[in-house]
Amino acid sequence: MTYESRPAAAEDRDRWREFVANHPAATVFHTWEWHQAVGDAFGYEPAFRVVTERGEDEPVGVVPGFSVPGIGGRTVVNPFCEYGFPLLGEGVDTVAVLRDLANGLGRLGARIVKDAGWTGVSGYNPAGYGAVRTGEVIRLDTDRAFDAVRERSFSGEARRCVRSAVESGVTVRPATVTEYYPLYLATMRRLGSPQFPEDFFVDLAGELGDDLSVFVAEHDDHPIGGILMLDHGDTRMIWSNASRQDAWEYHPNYRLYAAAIEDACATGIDVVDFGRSRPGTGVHGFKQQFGGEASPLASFVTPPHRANRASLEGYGRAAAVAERLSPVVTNPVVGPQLKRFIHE
Amino acid sequence: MTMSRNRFQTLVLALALVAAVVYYRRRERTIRESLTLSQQWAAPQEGHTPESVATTDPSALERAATLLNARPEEVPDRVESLDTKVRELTSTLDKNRSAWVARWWAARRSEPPATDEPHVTVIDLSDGVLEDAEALAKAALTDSLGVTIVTASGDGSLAVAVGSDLDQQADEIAREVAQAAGGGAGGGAEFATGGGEAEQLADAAETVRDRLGAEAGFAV
Repeated sequence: MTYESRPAAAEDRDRWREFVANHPAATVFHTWEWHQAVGDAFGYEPAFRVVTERGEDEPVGVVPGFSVPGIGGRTVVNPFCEYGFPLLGEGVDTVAVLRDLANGLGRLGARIVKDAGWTGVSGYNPAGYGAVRTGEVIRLDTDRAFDAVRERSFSGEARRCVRSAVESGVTVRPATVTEYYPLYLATMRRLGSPQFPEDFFVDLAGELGDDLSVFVAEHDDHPIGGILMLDHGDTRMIWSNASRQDAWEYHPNYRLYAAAIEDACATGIDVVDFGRSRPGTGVHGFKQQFGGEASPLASFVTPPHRANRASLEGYGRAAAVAERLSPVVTNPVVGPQLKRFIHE
Repeated sequence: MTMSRNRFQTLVLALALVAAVVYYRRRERTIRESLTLSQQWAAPQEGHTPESVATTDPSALERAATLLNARPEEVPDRVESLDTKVRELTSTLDKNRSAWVARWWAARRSEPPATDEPHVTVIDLSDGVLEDAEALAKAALTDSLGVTIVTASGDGSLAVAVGSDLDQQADEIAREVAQAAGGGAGGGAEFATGGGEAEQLADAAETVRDRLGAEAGFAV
């Protein structure tokens, strides 16, 4: 069987949605709504493609992505997320599809496909893709009562910190992205990391509707932290988390993670995905305290000699300098513009 | 002039050659490393689950080695050593608990010392050591009219506490007990420690207690 892919057009929207809704490995980052929000906010050239058998019209797969400009040339990638692997129907030859996707990238172009150990997609090496490890993702089974999750999966330290937050009077309530944004922006400024424009969060909330939710933690009626979650099917993705450093003594992040997990247990979410982090870092250690299973993340790149475009090592090295340049890199005008090029 | 131009051209060509070599070597290394990783990725895909990744996580051994301050190959020995130590400590804890309960019960059934007149208390910890004797004697410092002599037969040590309202010197009493048991002692007016022959210490302490009772009018 031979396959071909074509750019997805507006008239493909319904078939795309149906295909993603019925695919067991689909993530929120494969949805049409995600692509709309990213495309509108950053003006990237859309590069999401529909895969069909040659000469046929019915999709047997969909591939997310945008053509993102860079110093060395354009890169096709699904930006700002953990997952960009092709969603293919049962029995479709993955290697043939991946080879087809490697065509038409241009002399200086590259394609990055983000995948994780849990998806089971294979065939990258036979298709000529190189790989770069980008971290790990931890996924927690929440198809249980919250009490069981807390007692069997949370570490003693996590239980203690959640209890301490509750006893300190930290409360959690649903909120909007506009309430969350100031907390997010303050965290980005602390880290010296370019921020998403607020319009992107608003657009994403508009596109995803009830599948995007926000919790805000408060102490003495003041917001001290927030968490932004994206749901798709039976999986919840913790996509963004922010907190005020001067309130860390109240453990707002522990309280928010526990609230997100408790809500997942109560609302039919079977898996909470804590998102990417690098083993050995404080963020990764924090996530590990809530239990769950780790799965490796990798970006597959064609042609393989451009694998370094998918590496996140450079961002880590730049972090120390970036903190000192925070007022510049998180400037309301400069930050969102820089974010277009930092599509980790 | 022509010679300088030739040298300049040679230099430029040499630099270009070096740059090309460096570029292609880096490119070759990137290709090799990235393809190796994508090949390794394919291997565990059969029946791949998050659990299988977690159990084969190579960083787990390195983290354990860091925690134990050891090299990865030393981890099994360190773990075995730690396990032995935990078992020993558990056994010691059980013994100490039994001893503490027995002493508490004995004290509960004995006559309380007089607290409104100078008095002497002798305590023998038959399997105790210096740390035990010191802890007990320090606790007895709150007894302002009491002289407390604690002997620890486990390692032949003793500790003496003298209440703040008394004229007696703890170091002199400790020395008297220790010398009678063939040892020595030192310390201050309120607290002193020493050591001697383990089997003679308890008797020596009782002798000193009796002397204080007879010569200084202490209740014994």
